[in-house]
Amino acid sequence: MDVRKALMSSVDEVLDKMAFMFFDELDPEEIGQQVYKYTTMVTFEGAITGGLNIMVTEGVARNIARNLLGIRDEDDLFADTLNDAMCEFTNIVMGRTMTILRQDGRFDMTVPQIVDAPAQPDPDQQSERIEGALDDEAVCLIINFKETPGWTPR
Amino acid sequence: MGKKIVLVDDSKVMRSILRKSILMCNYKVDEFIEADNGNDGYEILVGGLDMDIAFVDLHMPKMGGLEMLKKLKETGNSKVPIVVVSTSADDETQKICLELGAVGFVRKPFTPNDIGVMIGKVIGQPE
Repeated sequence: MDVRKALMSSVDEVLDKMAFMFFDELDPEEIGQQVYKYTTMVTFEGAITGGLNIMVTEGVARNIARNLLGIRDEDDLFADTLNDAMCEFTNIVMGRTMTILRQDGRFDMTVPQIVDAPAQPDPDQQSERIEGALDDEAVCLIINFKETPGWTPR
Repeated sequence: MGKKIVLVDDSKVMRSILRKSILMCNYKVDEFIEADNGNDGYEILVGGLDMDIAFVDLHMPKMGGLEMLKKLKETGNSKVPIVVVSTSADDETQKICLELGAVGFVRKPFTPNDIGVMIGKVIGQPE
């Protein structure tokens, strides 16, 4: 089960279809040390069980919100709008990833939220970190998970 | 004459995305009527207002989209065509939605064109 590939495929599809943006995966050394303004968190159960964090700069959050919502006026981009847009982006990315990983589409997810810092993986979890850029600004995705192929909905 | 379109989704952002997508497809809309849960969506759909189409999410608090469809089918109180919008895009879920009376299914992520094509199928092309 290639979780990294599924997550990347989902990110590319969501950005392309809904935000008209393209993600450039980069070597962490090219990204360097970053200060991310927004970190989202969603947990999930299905083909895999765990959590996803998406970390973006202020500029990336603004671009995603602007493109998702079709907002042209910067003055309409309130802090709440940016939070909500990043949470919805995370929701669609994770939902699509889970559907790619398990074709019957059965999974449970929490409502995404803004958190202070990304979660650390549990001892029994694998972790994938994907770093890259959107419009030349840094983005980082961290997914901590374990495979749960026999999972059934509650 | 403009359309009256119902949007039922717990995400304010997703309702905004749907509004933007519909308007980008050149449909003239008189009114968007919105609900953030299936219970309120159900009340809107059986409320007797003349509406053209409804877009409904599956995963919502209070009452999900499947439960709402089931209740609408049981009571038979609404003739509004319902399109389900969800990331849960498997064949089984789509089949259940159609059996419960939905007329179409749009998978997230979607493009504005995906929404336009679905509206075109259900209520015709923009005037």
